[in-house]
Amino acid sequence: MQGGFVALGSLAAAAWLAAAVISALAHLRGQAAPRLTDTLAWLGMALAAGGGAWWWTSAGWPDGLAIAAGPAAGLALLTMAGRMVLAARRPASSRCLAVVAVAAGLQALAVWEMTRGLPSDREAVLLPGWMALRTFTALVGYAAVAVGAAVSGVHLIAPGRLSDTEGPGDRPAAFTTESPIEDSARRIALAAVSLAVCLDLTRSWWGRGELERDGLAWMLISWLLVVASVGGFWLGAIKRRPARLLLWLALAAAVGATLTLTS
Amino acid sequence: MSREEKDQVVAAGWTGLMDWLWRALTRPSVTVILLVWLVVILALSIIVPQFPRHVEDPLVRSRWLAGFPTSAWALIQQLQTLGVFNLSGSIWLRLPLALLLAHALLMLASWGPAAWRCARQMQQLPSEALVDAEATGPGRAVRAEESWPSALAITAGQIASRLEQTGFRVLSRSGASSCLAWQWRWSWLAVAGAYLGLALGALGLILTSWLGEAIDLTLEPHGNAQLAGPVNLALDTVTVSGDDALHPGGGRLELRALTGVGESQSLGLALHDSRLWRGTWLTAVGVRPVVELAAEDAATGQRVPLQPSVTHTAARELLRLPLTDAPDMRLASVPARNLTVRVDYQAGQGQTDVPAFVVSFYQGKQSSPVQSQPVANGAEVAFDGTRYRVRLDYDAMLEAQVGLWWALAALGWGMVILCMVWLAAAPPVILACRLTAEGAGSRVTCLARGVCDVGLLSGQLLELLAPGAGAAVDR
Repeated sequence: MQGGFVALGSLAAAAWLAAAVISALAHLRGQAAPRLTDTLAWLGMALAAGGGAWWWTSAGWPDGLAIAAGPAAGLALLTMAGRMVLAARRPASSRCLAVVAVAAGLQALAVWEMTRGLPSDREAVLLPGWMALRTFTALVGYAAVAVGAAVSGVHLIAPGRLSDTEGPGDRPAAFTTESPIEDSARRIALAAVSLAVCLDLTRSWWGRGELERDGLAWMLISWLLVVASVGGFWLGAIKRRPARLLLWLALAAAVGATLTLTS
Repeated sequence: MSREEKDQVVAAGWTGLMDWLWRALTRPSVTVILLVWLVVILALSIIVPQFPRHVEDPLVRSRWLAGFPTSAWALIQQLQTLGVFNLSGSIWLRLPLALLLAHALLMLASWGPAAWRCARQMQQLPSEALVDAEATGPGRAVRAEESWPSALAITAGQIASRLEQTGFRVLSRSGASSCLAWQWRWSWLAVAGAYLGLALGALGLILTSWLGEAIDLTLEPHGNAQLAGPVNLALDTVTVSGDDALHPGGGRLELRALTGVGESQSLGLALHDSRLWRGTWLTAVGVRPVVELAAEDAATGQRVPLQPSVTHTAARELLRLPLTDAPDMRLASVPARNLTVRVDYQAGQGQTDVPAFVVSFYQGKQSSPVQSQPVANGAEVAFDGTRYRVRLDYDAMLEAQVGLWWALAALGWGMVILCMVWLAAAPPVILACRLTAEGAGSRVTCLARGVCDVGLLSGQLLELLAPGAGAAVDR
């Protein structure tokens, strides 16, 4: 039953990794990424979705989602959806490469989780019915965190490629048209993770009387880091670089929250 | 604090100290530092094993310590004094919460009026707004100046037109010399709302841990426990539903609150549901399956006392052993017979909803059972002149949150969440432009302040002020 997910999911991760390597090589040579990278990205998405469908058909709906590998695979797919939006604007961008690399990592994590096959609590992730909305909103938020972190990673590694103004009262310097993508990702992340936290806290206070679940704790950590990163940067509390580092920490917490979403 | 600042504080005395404290606590970076502090405490509380509730009970404590190697016990004792194993009730959490409360209130006092002025900026003349926006306030500010070859009136018209095209609402009161523009002006209040929420959230959590009390109740049918003061809570019945007898999917608890002599009030609570009752938030956390064990002398019909092997309580006629994974919890001794009885649960063959048990008897200190026999739920098994009856039942597990301070925390954090969504969806920007004649042309000075990405704001301002790009925008 798990074999289909593992095989197709591994192929998806491999396809995305190949797309990332080809893009990176082209980038190093100063060439535009070949169209093969797009093909590999789409192929990977189809394979990952096929693996997920295989598992959910075998395990039955909604039990298929109630295992850590399910949300992790969903997160990888949503991150790739973010990459597709990015690619529609700037197909050869190094930011696409970064997002594909992060998505490949998340897919590999999903496959690894499936091989572990840890039991999970279906009630924790899907019941009552509106908790499915929490799960989906959280995954959208985490995917936005992943896209924002991946895009900002390019800035962290190669800060010379972009020059942004920093301090209040600065004279505006060179402005690139790619920053809105990072900004949009941060906005979606802040709104979606906030809503997911709200739903989860409501369930905890109203339903189960327990606030100490790992899934909620990691979600709170991720939300606080997103608020510190995005809100702090917008309010002028921190500069862009520490804000990006906090977003990477938020991504680490989001991965933890995704893997414990079902516990 | 620098040496110069220290000297100033010493020279100014208390006034200087208060002034320094105000400036230190009204830095927006303090918000980020305190949020990261809370993150570290939350992460540590997941990574480092925390004390279970009622750790002051020696039995609970020894069970918790048994999970660690004996060599680590000395280190645990040392770390315990630092509050590492009780982070939620330690100074490490209360201190950042207290600082967050003070900081959020001061930020509210510092930024609240500025946020209100920004939200109602259209009441002012643009030149006043420019001064206001440049002064300290929420968000980040960007200033730019540019010379235009066109005359003052034409430049003002073009600037206003560009602003409207990019989604700004424009107000121009002082003829052609200045203009004011804004986007999502009421969102400025979300900044003040977020700080108010942080203050309420921190205050609620501090008061909950200080004045509030969380009580874990485990009630067996017809048993009762003290809730708060003279009020006792009694359990009448537990009904469960679902296929798996050990993990029921749903259920309902019928409770009675004993409020005085002969006075009671019925309370119905579905499993995993909560309700407010007289200032106490009651939650039906779950049900715990137990096996009810009773022994009867086959000849005389008299009840034989049984004693649980783990908890050192007196022998009772009816024993309720929790069906946990720990086998020692399902052992009972029969002192009168020098006998130990162990009850294991097994689901009915092919039917998970038909429970069955295996009852094993150990004589003296023997490690292997003398007799082991499967028994249906509610049936009896005989051994050594005694009949043993086993029955599946459930204890109700409730959590009672006494005091309503948690509601303050919920309101506060809810406000923060709402304001974050508001700011993400509708970021506020205010922009003030002043135009002066410069020879035959004009000079434009703009200042934009917004709760948004300062890089994007700079780009927007550049596009707005570039005289060459004007033609493209105007087209």
